[in-house]
Amino acid sequence: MESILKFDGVYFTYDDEVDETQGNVHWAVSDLSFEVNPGDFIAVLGHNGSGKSTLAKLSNAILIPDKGEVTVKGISTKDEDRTLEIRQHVGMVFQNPDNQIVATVVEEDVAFGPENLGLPPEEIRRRVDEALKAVGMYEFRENEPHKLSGGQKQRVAIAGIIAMQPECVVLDESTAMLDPKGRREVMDTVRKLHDELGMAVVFITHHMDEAAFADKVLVMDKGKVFLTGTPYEVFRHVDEIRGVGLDVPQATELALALGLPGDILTYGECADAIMHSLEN
Amino acid sequence: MLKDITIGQFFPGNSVIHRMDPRMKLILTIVYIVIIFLCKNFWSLGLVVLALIIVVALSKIPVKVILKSIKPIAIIITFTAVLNMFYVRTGDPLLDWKFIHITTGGVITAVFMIIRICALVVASSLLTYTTSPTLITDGIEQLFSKFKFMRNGVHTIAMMMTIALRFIPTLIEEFEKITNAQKARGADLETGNLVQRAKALIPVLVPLFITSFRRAYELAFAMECRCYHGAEGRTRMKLMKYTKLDAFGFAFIALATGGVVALNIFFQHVI
Amino acid sequence: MSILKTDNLTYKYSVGTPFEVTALKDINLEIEKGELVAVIGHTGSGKSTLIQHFNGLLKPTEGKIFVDGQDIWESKKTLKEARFKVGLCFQYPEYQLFEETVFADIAFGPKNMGLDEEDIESRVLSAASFTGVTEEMLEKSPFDLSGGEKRRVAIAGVMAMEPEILILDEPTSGLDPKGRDAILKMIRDYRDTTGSTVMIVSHSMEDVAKIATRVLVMNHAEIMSFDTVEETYRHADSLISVGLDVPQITKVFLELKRRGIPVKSNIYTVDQAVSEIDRLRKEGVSLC
Repeated sequence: MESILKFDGVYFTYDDEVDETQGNVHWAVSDLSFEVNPGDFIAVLGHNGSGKSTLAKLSNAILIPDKGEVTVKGISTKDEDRTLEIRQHVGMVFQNPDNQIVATVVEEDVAFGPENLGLPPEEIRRRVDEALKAVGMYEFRENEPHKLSGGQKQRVAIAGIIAMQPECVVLDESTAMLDPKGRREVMDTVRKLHDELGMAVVFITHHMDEAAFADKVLVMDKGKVFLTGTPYEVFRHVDEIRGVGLDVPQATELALALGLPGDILTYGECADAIMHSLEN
Repeated sequence: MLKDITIGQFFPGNSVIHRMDPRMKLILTIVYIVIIFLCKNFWSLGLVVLALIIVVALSKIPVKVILKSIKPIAIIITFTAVLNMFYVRTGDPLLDWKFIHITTGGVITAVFMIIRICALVVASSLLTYTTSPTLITDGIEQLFSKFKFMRNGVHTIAMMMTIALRFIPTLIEEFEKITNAQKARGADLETGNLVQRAKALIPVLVPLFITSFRRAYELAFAMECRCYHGAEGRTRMKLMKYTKLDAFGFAFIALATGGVVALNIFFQHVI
Repeated sequence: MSILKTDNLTYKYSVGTPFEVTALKDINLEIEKGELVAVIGHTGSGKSTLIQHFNGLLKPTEGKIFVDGQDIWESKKTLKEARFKVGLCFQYPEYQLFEETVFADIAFGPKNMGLDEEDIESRVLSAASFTGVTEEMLEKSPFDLSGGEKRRVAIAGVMAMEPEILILDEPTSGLDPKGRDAILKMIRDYRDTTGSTVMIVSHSMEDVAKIATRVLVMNHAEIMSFDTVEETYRHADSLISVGLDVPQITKVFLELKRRGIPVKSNIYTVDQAVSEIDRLRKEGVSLC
């Protein structure tokens, strides 16, 4: 199976001149390798400045690696002639919902991407309606974006991306500016895209509870992958995770403290395990 | 709240004028302005005014609102009228007193001027009253995209206008927020003379500009990620279509134009 | 005497139009000097509107606000005093920075108070030390700092006014766990050292529970409860029902209780949880 997105020994620096012989290059990401296959849900966890936003920008040719290679469906992001193709395959949702909505009407904003792809009007209409329904914003299609809540704006932004029918969506801290309700809305939408439409998701965040839904978690620190594995495999390392400025789910922490067996991440799982231990 | 203000002076409605294609409205408004200036006597001018009254009635915009549009330029109108009255020396003298010489020609020119300018202002306001800024922008873009050499330029301007319209409410909200934050730090924005007040705005304007630059930067990224690459190869979801209404509008203005030309020929020119 | 008191405070937007909205309804509360009050509520619950009344940015439609026993809307003078007695730090305060240097930005508030140079400098330095703004940073442009550093500078700008009540609206929003914990610790240290009254507005019970003495829960323009952290958690299920986040551990114990286990429901840290489970294990529970 061909991977959708592949990082292969990627190095990137924001420094202007790269002179490795000096040995003082400040790498924003270094030696980064991972793959996203169709249908994957990968969470990237890291504190601010750990390199996770750089990772996002490298994944659709906004940034080009200094060393190593990023490929999208086999196309290297260094291939400038195929940048549009790459961006169609890997869609990106950003942090600030206000700064990614272009049009004054919701449905026209969702149409922006497909319009740029040069699709015929009927096809755009069909995709816009589908995308808005998928994120549950169809009834708001004629609203003005600035009157929506943060979570609703972010769902519109997601619709704008899925209307381009990408195979993979990268969400770069898309929940960081939202209130708990908005975060829940976005999380539910993303899980739905993954579960029902089979879209591959790269979810970048510093909220550990959002990473619990992932198939695989990458924990980043100082531009490198610090830990990787299933959510439980990662969160089990309570002290290490704390050491890089992140939280672990309290349920996991409690289960470990009580010596409960099983991969415990959610409150339900934790309650089950406690019941079970009390019964014995 | 401030963010609920309507931008421009769009007056939502569902009249036949509202429903006309914005491109046709743009064209017809321009044609109408031209024929205002073609009028050479009160007969043709009367026809032009009558046409305007009919359109205003059809648009269902309250007369009060229409009159409001003339208010800001009332001074300019009065000024031009007075100037014309004093400086045009054709026709019979009406008043000859010291340095003031008023002639029939002067009065006629002044009245003509007033009516022309009012008609011009009302006609162009009517366009913005009945068409949302977004539609005007789209109309301009789609109208000019027919001409290949203008396509890129017009697209760029239209895109800029759309983004400006999109961000005006956001920036107003931002302005309110920053103003409150600086007030909370004791900034005094309400008292003092003009210079002091202008200076007091610095703590609000600097953050506002910086935030706007950051927004612009992020928005550019987001647009690139959505495959934006200018007008080249770009299509639109909503294509404007001319309807019967537009044909009526076209015929209406065409008849008015014909009428003006005919009346200009049949009756004596006064201007 | 209480430092802050409201008397039937009501606030309505767009009064007299069809869009009239009651943002605050009959709010009566009293806060004692030196308290650290957390104000929680979902977006639109009225919590942000409430705090903007305390320094006179919003004028109540009905009712009164007393700061230090003084009705703040009595005269222009009392209103101006309230501005300086109650320091309000808005959400994302880093977007209010504008001066050329960090020092000048922190000095903006004290300058507006009309203090002399010496006083201003000592206040800036003390606020900087509370917020961990280093001497080196004071000379820099605020725009050359990292996001977390900017946030601290902006908070220092309000602290430097040495208000009797410091109010922070969502001071940790957008920060990662490490940044969040640093800000919360800083706020607690400030209050412990200066003895000032502090209010923190938040969506998250989890954040504020660590440092608050009392929790004010707002819902639909009204006060839902105003009690200690322990007591507020006792009604954790009602917090969830009005759309607020509670710590995951609290959810575990609510779930256990729902399943008929006789556990306390006001458990919110892992340590509390471990001792509660140990108690159950020792005492033994009968499972039906």
